[in-house]
Amino acid sequence: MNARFRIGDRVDVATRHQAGHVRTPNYVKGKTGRIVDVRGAFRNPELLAQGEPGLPRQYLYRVEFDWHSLWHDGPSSCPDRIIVDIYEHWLMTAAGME
Amino acid sequence: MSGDQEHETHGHGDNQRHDHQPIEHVHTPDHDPEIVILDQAIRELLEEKGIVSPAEMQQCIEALEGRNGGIRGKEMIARAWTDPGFRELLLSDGQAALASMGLGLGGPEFVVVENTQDVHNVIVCTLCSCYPRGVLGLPPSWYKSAAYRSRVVREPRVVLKEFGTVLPDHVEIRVHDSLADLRYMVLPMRPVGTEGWSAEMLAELVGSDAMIGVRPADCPVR
Amino acid sequence: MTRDPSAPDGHVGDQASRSAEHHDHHDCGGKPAGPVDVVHHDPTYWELRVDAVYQLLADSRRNILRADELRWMRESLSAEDYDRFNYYERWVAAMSRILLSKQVVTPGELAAKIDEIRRRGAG
Repeated sequence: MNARFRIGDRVDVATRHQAGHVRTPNYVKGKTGRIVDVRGAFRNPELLAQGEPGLPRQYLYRVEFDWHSLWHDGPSSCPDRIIVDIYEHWLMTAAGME
Repeated sequence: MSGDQEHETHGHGDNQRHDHQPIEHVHTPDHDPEIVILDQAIRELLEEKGIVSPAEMQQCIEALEGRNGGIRGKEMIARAWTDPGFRELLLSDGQAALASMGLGLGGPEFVVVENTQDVHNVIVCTLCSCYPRGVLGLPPSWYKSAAYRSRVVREPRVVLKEFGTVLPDHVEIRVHDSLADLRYMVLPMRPVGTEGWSAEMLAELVGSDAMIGVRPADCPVR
Repeated sequence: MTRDPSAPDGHVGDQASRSAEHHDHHDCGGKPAGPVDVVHHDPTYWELRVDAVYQLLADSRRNILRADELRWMRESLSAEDYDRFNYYERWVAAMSRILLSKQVVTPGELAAKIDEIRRRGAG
C-alpha cells in the first residue's frame, strides 16, 4: 500500500458527518490545504476507539491551510498557517486539480 | 470559560496518601463529589481484584510528578543549541533523536519544529490535549483549557499576546494542530547573550511554554 | 441523590447505542471563548492519581483500555456533563464507563462499593 498523496499536493478535506470518534476537526472540513509532510501508515484511531484493531492502516499527512482560507473574516494579507494532522481517508484531490 | 481551568494551586504537602479511609483526605474541594466517590470506588475495586496495587499507583504518581518539568525536553533543546549535528537530527528525524537519548513516545512519532526570525511555531490539540508527555511531562493547565484550544487556531496573535508574546506582522505563525499520531515540540531561538554557555546552563532557560511556542526561551538574568 | 456519573446517558455500558451518535462538543477549534488563564496550575494529588489509574490500565501488561477509547468515551459525555466536569473529572466518568462496558467491573459491584463508601463516610 502506498501513500496516495505527495508533498505539495492540494487536497480537499471531506465534509462527511461521521458517527463515533472522529480525529478530523470541524474547522477544516470542506477546506482546501496543501500536503507538507507524508508520515507513515497508522492504525485508524477512529476504529481503535471502538475497540477494533484499527485496520486498514491510514497514511497520516500534515496538511497546511492558509489562515485566511479557514477564517474568511480576517485580513487576506495574514501570513499565518494552520497545519493539521489528517489521515488519508479524510482527504481527496482538490476539486479542479485532477 | 470551561471548567478546564479549575486546577488547584495547592502543593502536595497537605494531602494525605492513605487508602481505604472512611472518606479520603485527599484535597478535593473543587471536584464534583459524585466523581470523587466514583473515583474512590473504581480504585478500591481495581485493587481488590488485584488489577492494580497501591504500590504501583504510588510509583506511577511519583513518576508523573517527576516528569512534570519537561526535563528531557529542556535537555534536547540545550543540546540542539550547542551541537549542530544533534540540531539537524532533531529537526530532520525527531524519532531518531529521541531514540538516541533512550527515549520514546510509545507509539506516536516525534516532530520538532524550529522557530526563526521569520517563522514562529505554536502547538495545540483542538480535539483533546495530545502532548509529548514522554518528553515534556504533563501539559500545563492552560494547554488543556477550552479557551486555548478554541482560540489559538483562530486568532493566534491575540492568544500569544495574552502570554506576553508579541510578534512582528511579517513573522509567519504556524499553528500545529497535533491531534493524531504525531507529537510536537518547538525548538525556540537561542536567547542572545548566552554565547559560551554550557548546555546545562542553557537548559535552565527553557520551560514548557517555550517548547509549546507560546513564549520565547527565557533571557539570561544579568 | 444525583445521577450516577458513570452512566450519564442512563445506559451503563451500552456502548453500541453511543457509537451511533455524533458528538462534537469537544471539537472546539475556532469557537469563541474567553481569555486564556495563562498561569500554570500544578495538578493536585487527586488529579495525578486519576492519571495514574489510566496509565496503569493502559500499560502493555494490563492493556485494559486504550487512549483512543478513553478519548471517545470522554467525547461521549453529554454536552452538559462535558462542561460540568473539569478535565480529570471527565477522565473518571469515562474510565468508569469503559470498565463497565468491558465488564472489568460490574454495575452491581460498583453500586455496592459506592454504597459502602457512603456508609463509611456517614459512620
